[in-house]
Amino acid sequence: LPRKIVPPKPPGFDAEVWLDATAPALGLNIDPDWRHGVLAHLSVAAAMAALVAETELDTRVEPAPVFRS
Amino acid sequence: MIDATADCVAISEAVRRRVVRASDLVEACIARCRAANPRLNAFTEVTAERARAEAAAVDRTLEAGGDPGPLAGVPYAVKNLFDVEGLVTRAGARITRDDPPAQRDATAVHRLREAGAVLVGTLNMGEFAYDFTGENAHDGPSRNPLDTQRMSGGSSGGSAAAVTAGLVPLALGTDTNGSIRVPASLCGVFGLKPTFGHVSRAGTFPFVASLDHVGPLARSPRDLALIYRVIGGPDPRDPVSREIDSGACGLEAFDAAAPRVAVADDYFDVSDLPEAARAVAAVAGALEAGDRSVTVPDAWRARAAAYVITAVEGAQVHAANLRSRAGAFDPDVRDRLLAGATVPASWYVRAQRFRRHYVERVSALFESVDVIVAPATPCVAPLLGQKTLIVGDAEVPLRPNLGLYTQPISFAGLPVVAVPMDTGTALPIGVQLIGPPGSEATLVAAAERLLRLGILHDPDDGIDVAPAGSVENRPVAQRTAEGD
Repeated sequence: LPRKIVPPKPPGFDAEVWLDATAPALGLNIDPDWRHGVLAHLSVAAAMAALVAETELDTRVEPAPVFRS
Repeated sequence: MIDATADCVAISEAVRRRVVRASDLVEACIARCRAANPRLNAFTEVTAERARAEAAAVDRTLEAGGDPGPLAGVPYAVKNLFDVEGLVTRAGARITRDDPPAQRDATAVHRLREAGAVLVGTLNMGEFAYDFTGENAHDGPSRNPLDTQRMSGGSSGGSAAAVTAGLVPLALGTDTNGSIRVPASLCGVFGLKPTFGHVSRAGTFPFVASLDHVGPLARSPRDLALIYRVIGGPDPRDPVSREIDSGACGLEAFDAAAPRVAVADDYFDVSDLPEAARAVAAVAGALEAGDRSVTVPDAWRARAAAYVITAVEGAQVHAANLRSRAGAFDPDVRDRLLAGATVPASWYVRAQRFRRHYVERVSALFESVDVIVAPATPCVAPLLGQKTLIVGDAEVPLRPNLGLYTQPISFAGLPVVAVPMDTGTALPIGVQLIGPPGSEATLVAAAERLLRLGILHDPDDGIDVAPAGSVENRPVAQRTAEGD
């Protein structure tokens, strides 16, 4: 059950380093009062992404969105 | 008597048979909304002028011998992210308050109006729909009518509260990761999240384009069927909308052959959550699932992928405001959007590719089963302000985990009917009836079967029947002669 709710932390991703590098480049100002919350959510996103990445996907699997002209 | 307990079908029949006037109904409805709203905070705006005009038009059509449509005189309200002509579309935010008023109605609102329904107001919601609680830093929380110290659930919290309290028999909501099913579960009403693309999102404030759905919350399964037929189907304004088999969702479907039913296990096992476990078992027993169970493959990864897609697409909707005035967001939403704005593209594309893979695997489940039964929420309505949830021996954050069981299902775009179950306390809990794409008729029929078996939570439990809230069934001619 815990794995269901809180995925394991992925190795090799440092949320603080990532946020400090990307936020200014994207024009985002992270107020010091918000930093803890933003980092927490970014860490969860990293864990979620790592969980998704565990699944081996065939090279030819397309993304889900479909465009119709 | 048509009172706050009546569903849409009953109201429409009474109006069409001219035993009650739409104009009288709407006055009673407006009175109920205004009387109850200080306690519930469900409405952010009561559109009395528009409601009176729409109701009068229904009455005029009937007096002239015309057909006002299948929802003649039915009062309803919409989550305040639906465009309503002449109103600012709030989407639960402060940032939107200075936006220009909507130039036209959202497609679903337009279709309800064409069917004779009467819009009485717009409803409170979690900011930009990024919410499962119904709490809102700007407007205050929508409160659960069954216990006003508790959450309505979100993000369509005002929608569920308004229907539960009998203020309106129908409310529209949206569901990206569970925002119809979670509040339906916590407030004890029926909710339909249709197949992805079956109801147009045009004219709604977007949250996550890949995952957003529009659907109804109502007081009966037959109302879900009726509303789905009215608002569903293709719309040139929504590129993912498509044809629906609306004929298959008629009331005759209620007597169709019993579906093959199985209980979702593994990720959806709720042995540690007694209220949810009892509710799932009761539904499974009533629908004769026996010992059949199915494993939704990779459900926890589906939830994870939905989380990543939500974070990225949600943030991009608000990219400009996150740069220029992030402090104006609800703090609970702001931090998630700021985090989402920095998520790398590789995580996002991987999640979208996983979605394709997942949908194909989930589709295979329906070769051997028609309806999958799963919990809607891990718990009954939490107290307002509650931050954590106890699951077995673990204490986990409440806010994201209210959608634990809804998120992997909407990620596959599957239709779901949420049905309310009793827990032995005043607080109900919902159960999801899940089917393959396009199976809305089967799911509504299964819900109706449960209703007829008498095992569901009684939606009338949430109603304060106020004297102002009822309209006697008397012939219109008689009432007119009496001068009222």
